[in-house]
Amino acid sequence: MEALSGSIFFNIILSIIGVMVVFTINALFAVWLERKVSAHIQLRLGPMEVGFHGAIQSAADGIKLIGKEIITPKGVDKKLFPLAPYLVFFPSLLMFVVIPFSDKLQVQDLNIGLLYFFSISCIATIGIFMAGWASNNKYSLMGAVRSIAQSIAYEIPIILSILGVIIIAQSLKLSDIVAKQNIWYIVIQPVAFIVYIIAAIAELNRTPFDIPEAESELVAGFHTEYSGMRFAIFFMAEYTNMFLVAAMATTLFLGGWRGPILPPVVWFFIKTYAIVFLIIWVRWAFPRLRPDQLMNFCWKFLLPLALLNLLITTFLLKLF
Amino acid sequence: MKASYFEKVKIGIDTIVKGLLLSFSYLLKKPSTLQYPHEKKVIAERYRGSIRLKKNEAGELKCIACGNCERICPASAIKMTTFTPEGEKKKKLSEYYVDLGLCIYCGLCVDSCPVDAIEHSNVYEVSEVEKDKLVLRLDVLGEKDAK
Amino acid sequence: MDTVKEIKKDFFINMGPQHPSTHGVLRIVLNVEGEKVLSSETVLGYAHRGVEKMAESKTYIQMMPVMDRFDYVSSMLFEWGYVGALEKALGVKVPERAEYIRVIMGELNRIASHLLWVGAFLLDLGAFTPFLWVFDARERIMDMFEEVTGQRMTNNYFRIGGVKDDLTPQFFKMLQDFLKMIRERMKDTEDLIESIIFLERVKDIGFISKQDVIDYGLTGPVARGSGFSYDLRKNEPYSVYDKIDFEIPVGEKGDCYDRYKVRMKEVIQSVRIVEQALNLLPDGPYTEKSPKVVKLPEGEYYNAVETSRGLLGVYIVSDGSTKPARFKLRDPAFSNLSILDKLLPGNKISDVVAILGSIDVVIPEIDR
Repeated sequence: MEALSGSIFFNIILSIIGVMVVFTINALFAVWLERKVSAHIQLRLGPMEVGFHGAIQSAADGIKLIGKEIITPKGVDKKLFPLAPYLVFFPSLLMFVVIPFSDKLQVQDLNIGLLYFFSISCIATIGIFMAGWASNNKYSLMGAVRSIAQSIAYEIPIILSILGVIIIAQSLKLSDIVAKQNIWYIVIQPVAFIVYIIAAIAELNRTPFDIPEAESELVAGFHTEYSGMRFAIFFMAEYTNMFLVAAMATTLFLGGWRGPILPPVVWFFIKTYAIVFLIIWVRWAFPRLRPDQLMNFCWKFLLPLALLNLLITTFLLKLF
Repeated sequence: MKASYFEKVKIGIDTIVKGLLLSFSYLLKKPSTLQYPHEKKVIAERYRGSIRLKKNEAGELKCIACGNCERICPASAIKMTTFTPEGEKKKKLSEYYVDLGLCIYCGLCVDSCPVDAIEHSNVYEVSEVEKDKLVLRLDVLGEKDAK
Repeated sequence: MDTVKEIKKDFFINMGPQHPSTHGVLRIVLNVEGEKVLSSETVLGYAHRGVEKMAESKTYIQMMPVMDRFDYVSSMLFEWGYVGALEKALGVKVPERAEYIRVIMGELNRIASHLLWVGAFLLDLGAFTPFLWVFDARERIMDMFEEVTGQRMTNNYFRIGGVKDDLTPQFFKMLQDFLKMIRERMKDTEDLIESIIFLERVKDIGFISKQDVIDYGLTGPVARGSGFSYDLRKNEPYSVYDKIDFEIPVGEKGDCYDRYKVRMKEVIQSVRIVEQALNLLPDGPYTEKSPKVVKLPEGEYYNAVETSRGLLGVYIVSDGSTKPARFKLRDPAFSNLSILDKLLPGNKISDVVAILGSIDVVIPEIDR
């Protein structure tokens, strides 16, 4: 056993199992949380039938979706259509690699962890465009085009907002960033945190920035034609991304796994789900923006704000 | 919306914060959901459920087979057949059909009845798997908990 | 390469008849260039049932439940229009109590209709929560209807010379509870709705000028949103509306926001009307004795009422039999929808749902 634990092979197997467990439980829990929070905001009860207060409702839904027929509509691109869901889904698995769940629990502590995280996250956009293009549906295509424009626009404020953190921490390594947060960076960089959260919600395609899948305009956007397990994969990727974005916010701004009394992993999940709750809460309070307003908001408000924040941060850092 | 940049920012922050706080206050309110199959709503006295024929104290149908309800039904959901027993002048019902698949629950038949022999029950769960079962006949119509 | 095909930039999008935001089976064919709408064509008739022809084979009383099924969200106001025409023809005098009951039920129905509209409009714009907040309030109105009329939506409550049944003590209790909560709920909903995102989405979108209102024959909140103060309840008071004090809210610019605001204010005005009618409610019979067989004297009869969507005209030609010789409706949503093709070009696809939503259409009423 001792000999095994040191080997790389053992580490890889353990990591894969760990990531899959976190991924599955998160997808089930986040969907349940979203349904419950939205229900109670809207004076409803939400799922109540399967399990205690509907706790395993999402598992039941998952089983239903697995059992469904996979429909491939006429006229779709035979190669790209089945491939697209996986191209959206796998980046979110890969992004787990650098997330520091605790001081010891991290798959790989890369030197360029932050850079890795945000580069991988861009790949999903290609998958979304693929899905929209391959579907042979005008609504899907429009959703995909909107998605591309949105992703490109909002990646810039995200990177700019975390640049402030990087400058203070002097490192791209996530474990270093956590270690240096004797004061949470949300206190030092509140503007960066707000910009990050707004841009992250936009990256996640969630209301008020859910124009790629705007239900009342584009039916379901890029995944209009998908059904059964393929749809479920899109769905799971969305909720996994939500977790990842929240996990990154925790790591960068809320001191990661650090906290008193409770074990680090627990602290990490408490903070992450607090952010997840915030993201859900915003979704159920507001309508959605129009595509051109979305762009205006990004280029004319978020980007200058992030730049200003960066400028002031560097200036003050030089001063003291 | 026409407003200057900074005005918009101000309105934006104000309204977004207000909206978030308001929705959070509703998060803590008591939900108004009724867990339908487990708890059922108290149905109003006047609720127009499925059709039922009334009986008198002797346990016989009050219906005098005048055919008013059949004539007035806008959806032609009611059909009746009658016969005149030998030695009697009055007509009697031999069969009475109400097709709940056609019925629009308007209550005109109840209004039109001269002897108050037909009424709406409070039964509202009338869905069936087979279409034929939606047609109510005389044997069901007189029962207290008729469909 | 001798000829390069000209690249077509515009393409067609079929919005409907199966689409989440066309409120039923309306179809809009949009010619778009990217996100921009170049032109549009509204296609009707997917729910056409030929009701006006059907009326010629139904007796006057049999037609009553059918009136509920045009505009199913404010059905009693449609009944009112029809019953009013019959009463004019027969010369029936409606008892005072019945008039007040009609006003109370009619205004509650108007509130229910506007609440549904607010919810659906916000749903079109992407916000789900206001929909259920107002539905919680609307549900109480539905419960009251169930208590008094026996049915939640297709009520069939109005009768020639009055109403079907008297109000019950339970109803008054429910109404008091409702009046207590509705103002607060409307304020909360308004506060939640009017975020910067909503304002950006609806302000300065879909202008309707006063001239358009006259040209297209628009009525109801759509006309009043453009500052055209025309409400039958004020301009030609029918029933007991002349004894009740209320205001007609009007907009200024005629954009989607004004139409939204007019409806929100109308809800409050309707609440005021209900409160006053409740105080003024006299004792007495709730209905006049009406004949079992209704035969209209030969002639033409017309009655108009203000429904939640605008002016409803009911026109009946009688040949003296138990069935109308010709039956025609002038319904508000049909006329209001006619301006849609003028409003859409030049806007974005996202605005299409906002503009269509602000006009407030009910498809069975348009298609008949």
